[in-house]
Amino acid sequence: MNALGVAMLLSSTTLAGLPSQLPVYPNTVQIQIGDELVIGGEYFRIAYFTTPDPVTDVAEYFFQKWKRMGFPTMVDGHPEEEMIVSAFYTREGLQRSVVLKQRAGKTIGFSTLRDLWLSAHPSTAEELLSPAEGVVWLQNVESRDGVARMQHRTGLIESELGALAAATKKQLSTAGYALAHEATLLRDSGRHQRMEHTRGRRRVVTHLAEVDAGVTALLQTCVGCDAVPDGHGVPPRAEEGGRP
Amino acid sequence: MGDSAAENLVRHMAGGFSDARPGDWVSYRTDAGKGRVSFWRFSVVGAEKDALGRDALWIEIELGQHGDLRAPLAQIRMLVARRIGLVGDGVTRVFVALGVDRPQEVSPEQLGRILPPGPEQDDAPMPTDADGTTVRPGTESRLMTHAGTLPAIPTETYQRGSLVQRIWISHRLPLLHLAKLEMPGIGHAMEVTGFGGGARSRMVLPPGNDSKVRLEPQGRPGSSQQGD
Repeated sequence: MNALGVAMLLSSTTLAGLPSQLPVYPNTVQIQIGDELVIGGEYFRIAYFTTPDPVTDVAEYFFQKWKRMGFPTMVDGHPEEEMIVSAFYTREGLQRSVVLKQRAGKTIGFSTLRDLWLSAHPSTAEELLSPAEGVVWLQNVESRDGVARMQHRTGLIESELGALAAATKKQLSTAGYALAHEATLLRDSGRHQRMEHTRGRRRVVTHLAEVDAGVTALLQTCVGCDAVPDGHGVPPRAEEGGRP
Repeated sequence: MGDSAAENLVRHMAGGFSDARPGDWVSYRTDAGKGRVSFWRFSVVGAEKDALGRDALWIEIELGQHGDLRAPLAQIRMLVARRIGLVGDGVTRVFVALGVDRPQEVSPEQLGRILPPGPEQDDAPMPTDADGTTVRPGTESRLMTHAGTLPAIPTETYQRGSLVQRIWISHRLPLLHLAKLEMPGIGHAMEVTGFGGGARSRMVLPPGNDSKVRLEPQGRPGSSQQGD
């Protein structure tokens, strides 16, 4: 699964907040992706695991477990494509989900915790490409791991690859970035262009891929881009609430 | 509320909570037939004067599909004047949370729209033999419930000779004193599952500056909203 696929998968599912534990499947190792993620303006916590057990067994495990615990629980999808099991923590405003896919004889599970009550402050780094026209789909993901922050932008743009590459270079040059590396690859699926720009400790990696005639996929990562002012992280929900 | 047992319960609550104390709680299981089981919990989570200077209680009501109400489907918290009860005149503040929505306060000036007015309840004529309804109070006996065996008084309501409703009242129970409610004709039942003291608020309330829920005017069937 490529990075675009992962980003689309995550964006179609869920995020994070109070009880901070992610759903865990027995006898698996949970690998957390970042610490806190902001996807489409919502807070998530995400990890993944793999297991030889079939998708249906894993889905059944979480469905029965959450139902037994008394949470409103639902299952969606198809075992051969993707299954999502979700439990709703109505007191805390959290959604706990597992997104399950079959891949190379294994089940890959994405465990997510999504905060349904909190919205993130707008936090897109100015370095990331924002095409004025032709946007078919655009998704921002911000990951926070301690003090380290990364901004990711994934998109599908109705534009020629060359035009988008030129726009990226112009925007980053204006922002004071220098082109450190550039490579063009020709693959069966079409032309790919990878660029790396730096400014001090900041690094912007842009990957453009021709998807169809006049349609380009964009995957851009900005490392060290502190677009969010300090203090605007995920507020500790446990300390919220109270009485009127 | 969805089923007749629940509607009966709300009517029962209109009688006031004059003897309720902060910390009191009571829980119920309702069975509306065909697997439609739900659970309720009523608790007194605070006492204060309301905006009209009356002694009032914060009553929290939780409704869910699982006995321990770990994730209720609805939560309501109301400031209810002790001697008035759950009617339009008695309730001055209401917080509501439905599903996973964040709890919000209902705009106080709109509470009259969602609660029945008090006087109409009081003025409602008692059922009589004239309209085919007969009420037969029973004598106190021992009633087995999910919360243990309780002393309770049954009251049966018959319509044209058929038993419509049987309510068991136990003064051992706080708040509603309701031990069991049966509606044999439609297969609905409601029974106490637990009660006690020490209840604390379990609802996460919104910050004080949050906007309040305002109700949209409901359109009358067949009429246009415009020009009304």
